[in-house]
Amino acid sequence: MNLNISLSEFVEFMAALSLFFAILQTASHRLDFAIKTYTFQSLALSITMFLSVFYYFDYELILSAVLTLLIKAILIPNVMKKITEKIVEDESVKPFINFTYSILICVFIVIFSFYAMSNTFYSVSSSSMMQKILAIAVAIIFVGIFLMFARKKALIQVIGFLTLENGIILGATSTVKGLPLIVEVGVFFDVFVGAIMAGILIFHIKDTFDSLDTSKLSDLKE
Amino acid sequence: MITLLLTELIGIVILPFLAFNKNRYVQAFLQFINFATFLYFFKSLKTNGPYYGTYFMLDSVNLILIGIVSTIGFLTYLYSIGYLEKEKQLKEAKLKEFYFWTNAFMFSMFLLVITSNLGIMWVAIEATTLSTTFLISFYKNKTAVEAAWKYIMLCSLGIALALFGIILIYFGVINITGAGLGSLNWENIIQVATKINKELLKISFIFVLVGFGTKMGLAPLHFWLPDAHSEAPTPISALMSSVLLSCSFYVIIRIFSIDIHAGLGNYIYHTLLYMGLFSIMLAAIFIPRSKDYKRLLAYSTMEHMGILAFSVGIGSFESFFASLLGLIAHALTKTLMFMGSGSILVNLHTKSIKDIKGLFAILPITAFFVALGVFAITGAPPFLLFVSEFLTLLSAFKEGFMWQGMLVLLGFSLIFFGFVESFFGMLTKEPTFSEKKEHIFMLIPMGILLVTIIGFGLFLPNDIKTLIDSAVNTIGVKR
Repeated sequence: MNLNISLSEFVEFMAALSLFFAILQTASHRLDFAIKTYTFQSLALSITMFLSVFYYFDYELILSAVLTLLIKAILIPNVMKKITEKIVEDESVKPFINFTYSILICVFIVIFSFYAMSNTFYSVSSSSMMQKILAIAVAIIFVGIFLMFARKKALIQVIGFLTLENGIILGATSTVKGLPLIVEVGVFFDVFVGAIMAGILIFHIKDTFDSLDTSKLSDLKE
Repeated sequence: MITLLLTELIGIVILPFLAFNKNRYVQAFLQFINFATFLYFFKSLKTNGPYYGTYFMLDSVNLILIGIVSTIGFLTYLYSIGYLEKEKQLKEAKLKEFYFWTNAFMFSMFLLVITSNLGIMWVAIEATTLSTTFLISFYKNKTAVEAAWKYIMLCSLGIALALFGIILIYFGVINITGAGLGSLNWENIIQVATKINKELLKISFIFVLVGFGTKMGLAPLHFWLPDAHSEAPTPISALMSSVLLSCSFYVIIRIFSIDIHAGLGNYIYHTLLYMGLFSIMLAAIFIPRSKDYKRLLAYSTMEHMGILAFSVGIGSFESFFASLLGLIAHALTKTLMFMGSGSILVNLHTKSIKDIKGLFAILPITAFFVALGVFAITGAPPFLLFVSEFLTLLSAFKEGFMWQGMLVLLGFSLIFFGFVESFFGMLTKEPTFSEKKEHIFMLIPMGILLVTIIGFGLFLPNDIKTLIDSAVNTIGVKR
């Protein structure tokens, strides 16, 4: 057996790992488990970014990797954990679509994104690794969107959005070697503030509706 | 350029040090400085021509937007003086919260319109989402929290997709010019637009349209719009409807311009045309059915956004002119209507159309403004919106979009009847409330707006005409 894994293969592996955690997200029955998976997913993302530095030799990526680690793997999960601790409720996730079907749909999402990317970017992209990672990134984006629509709990919807964000950052790393520094910092700032604001809003939902179930948010209709 | 951003920051910084009574006048004065800055820019653009820098730019397109943001911003702050005084149950801290978030909101909108960098544009538009979320949930009741939740989730989702679209454009550009901040600069991208991979631009346009279209409230993506607009405090509804959505439209036409220069003509035009048409039709269905006058105005916003997209989609010089004129007209008229409805809401404390009758007896001057506003907003002459809607229809028929034009005309008439039925029911008949006192600071901005839309509708100043002309040429229309 050949154990000489090249750098690019390892980068691909880490990216695939973050896709794995994203899909695991959809199968998680409990909120604290979902937050943990999100932490690992962000960790895998930041390692991917860090290793890409040695592949692309673009040192601005180091800063992005560190920011990802700090904000997405440490700060946001901690905020989320505090929220779940304060809101004592039955912690089950309450799906619109049950877990088995969720996993099946995710499989289709992955197949679709690999198919779509292999067609469109064949002529544009220069390296095959970039193409594979882009496909993974698109798959993560769609899984995130799916998570936002298929779950009733407000907190899981936020995690779905953050997953989607991770996918976009991964896509940016693989295709354009990270956005320009100012923009990247701005994006991180926005996501961080957005996550905190969503957290505060979850408190308001809990206060006014006595529940985190977003399917109860149905007062506004024609 | 920095002045615009600085005044908002000053506004935030001095907030804690002053009592509310002084604060609101100071805040309005700061906005007036911004308005003066806009006039200065107007003059400097005329003498010096456009300016494109690394971080900021000033050309005829974003000058229109700077004008809208600063003018409407100033008038809304003026209006807020009266509005917040009428809201007696609000505490001092709550009022400061209002000004804090509103200033943050204005700051991000100014950043959005003066920056030359697509990446920073994205950061700014996400910042507008975040700064308005707590303004929508301002009253902290069930419906307000629900609206805020829908808003932050849907808009963040949409805008995140738009980021992916911008990344794809950047990807196309760095293959030509190399990585760096300059490769996201609008002016630089335009220069290399023809060399960018077409497939990439097509995919990116879909992402961008879905993203900023969500924020702009185009048809299948509009679900947050009526909720958010009806739940926010009325000055914020006015700002969101007339300024924020215009800003999203601005980003769309900036990126649209890149695609047009790259030669993606028909594909882009048709997408915009049918999306706009769909928005108009959907609004035409919902407007006559609305039971809540703020929701009704929100749907009318959707209609106007639809018209903007529709007339860009027609793709001739006149239609594009009509679209940009419509942008200005929409901002002025919709602010007038929201201010009128805000006065009704703050005095009578109900949003339901059928509970209110006889406004001419209850709030005579406001009722007069609203009555004229109804005709202005449905596109009757001699108001400004009439000119742009008429031009849109004319160019639609001229370019051969026959049945699309007829559908739009049908939509207009449905909307007209919906408006007249709802609002004239509220204005006339026996009054259901006793007469209320009107606040002078709420009437002044409405008066200014009404005079402006009638004046511009009758004689459009030459300066504005040349400004829009050069804006159309900057964006560039070619099929």
